[in-house]
Amino acid sequence: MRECQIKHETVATVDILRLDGALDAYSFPRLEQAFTQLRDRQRNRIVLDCANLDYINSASLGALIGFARRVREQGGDLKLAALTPKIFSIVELLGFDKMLQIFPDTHLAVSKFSQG
Amino acid sequence: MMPVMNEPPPADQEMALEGFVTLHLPCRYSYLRMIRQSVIDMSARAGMSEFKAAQLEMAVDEACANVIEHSYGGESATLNNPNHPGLRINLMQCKDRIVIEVFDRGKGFDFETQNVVDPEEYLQHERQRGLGMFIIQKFVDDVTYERGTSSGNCLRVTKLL
Repeated sequence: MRECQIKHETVATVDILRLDGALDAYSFPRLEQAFTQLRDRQRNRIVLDCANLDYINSASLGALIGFARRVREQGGDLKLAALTPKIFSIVELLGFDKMLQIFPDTHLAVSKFSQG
Repeated sequence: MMPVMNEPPPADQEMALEGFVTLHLPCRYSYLRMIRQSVIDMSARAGMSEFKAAQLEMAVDEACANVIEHSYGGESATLNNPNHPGLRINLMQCKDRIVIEVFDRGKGFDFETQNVVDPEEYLQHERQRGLGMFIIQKFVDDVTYERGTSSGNCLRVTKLL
């Protein structure tokens, strides 16, 4: 269980945030900061690579929902990719899979943006 | 009188301790990781499934974050403040369940009137608070809160194996 590191990568018009570690009350400000930077740069096509995300708390889930709403208003989207079974079970149990598009891997999530 | 087969054992047998860990931690969010790891380790020791353990982990993490934010009104000013009571956490492994108690000596909160927002409501409105309380209540089999006991405020969650 590690502190969360967020690495940012850009593939054409899509921004990928690679989450590594745990998103909890301690690391939550890093997620907010990453979203703020994307918003300031008016980037609205975002993929969260969750392959190495081992925990997410309610505040971070709330931030994902709020950010997804915002980018959709601008014609973009926030997609989740490569969730571990543990994280997926929590997201599904809370019904957030109805609100957020989830893909088995990051490549597929990025390609969905180019399909319109 | 013949014994009745399949009768559940008396409650005291179910509650007999098979493992016990106590943590005493500073009132800092950076220690939540240590608490979660202890919950996961205790769950694995008890043979709880990974999915149930993940729910218990989240309920306890939300409970402890709640204590820091609401009962203490935020983190302690310094990392090593010997005068701050911090959080005391008992993790108890019983035959068919895990019981976790979170003690603090903050002002506590009114558990009954805490804002609980279910996910449906959460998704319909702009970002709001209250999902943490929903998770605490729904991800475990039992939750109780006692305010102002001689040991402080106590939030107790129970998850069956």
